[in-house]
Amino acid sequence: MWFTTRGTSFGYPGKLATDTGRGMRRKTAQQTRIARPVQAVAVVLAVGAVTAAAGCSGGSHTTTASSSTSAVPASTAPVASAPASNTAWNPCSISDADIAAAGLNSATKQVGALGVKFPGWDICAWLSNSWYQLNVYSTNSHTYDEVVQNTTLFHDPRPVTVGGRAAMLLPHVNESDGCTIAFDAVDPVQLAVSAKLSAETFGDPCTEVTRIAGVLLKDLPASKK
Amino acid sequence: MSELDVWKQLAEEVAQGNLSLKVHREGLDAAVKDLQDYIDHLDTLGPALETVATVTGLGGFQIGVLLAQKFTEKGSGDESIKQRVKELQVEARAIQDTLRKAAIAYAETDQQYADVLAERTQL
Repeated sequence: MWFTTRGTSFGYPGKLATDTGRGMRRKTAQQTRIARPVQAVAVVLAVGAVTAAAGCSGGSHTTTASSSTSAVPASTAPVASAPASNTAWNPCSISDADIAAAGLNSATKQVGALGVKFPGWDICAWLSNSWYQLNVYSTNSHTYDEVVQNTTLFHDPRPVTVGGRAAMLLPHVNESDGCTIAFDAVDPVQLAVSAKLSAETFGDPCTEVTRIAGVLLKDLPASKK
Repeated sequence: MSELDVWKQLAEEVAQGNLSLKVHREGLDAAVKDLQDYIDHLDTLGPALETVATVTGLGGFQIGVLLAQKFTEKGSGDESIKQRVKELQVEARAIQDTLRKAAIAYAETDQQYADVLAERTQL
């Protein structure tokens, strides 16, 4: 068993332009001004949008009851002191060119969870310019079988073949816009597609993640078998 | 009343012709762009929020199960951080929409005044 908690603050470096000329003109005598709400929003932006403190499973695709072994204390270790890679293969080693070829924006690369690395895991993520985002996980905390049999996170696993390599397609529980494809390797690898927060229209996440896996297949670690 | 309600109300006032916004085109474009940058920036939180969407591993005792449920609720439930970030994006979109419509309303009204003045000048 392992568990990590963390608190994270996000700051928005941008600013909202409030220079809207001479302000609102209203026909009625009542003076409703647009400036006040704009200022209120600007304050929200300036302060920083979100402060989060949440329990973390060290990657959403992580654990099952059967995989419990020992507790890991809260991890707040600075990224700089962390090893370059926690597992046999680091997802962040995928080249920018291949990421772009997969339809993702290489400039949006994120290491870990906002820079936080979890013991036993390597995580890298990218956003697309479309409706989805991609999280790639590598773990030595769980076996391939534990991953694909995780009914807390996935339902109706489907064996598939991508570029001649066996994999398991895993639709997300309680998230119809999310789908993971898992590959067996020395440390199992998972590619997870989910909807961007601002997405209003969605495609089929399992189709998308299968397509992406086909493009990135040459970057993945070799099969264990 | 939430921020979103305020902006919806303002949009309604614009639609009814009670409210318009005089704004230079560059100012409007800059405001809309900054709001879009804000929405895009919030999107970058998405992958990290996925990693806290579901929390498990607190053991099989009742207290562990409840705690896991509680953290999962904070990660991806109805009142979760994920929902809150989405709400901020919806608010930003509502502001964009209201600013655009209010600016258009002003421009149309201004043109109507110009037309009336032109007619009177010709008389």
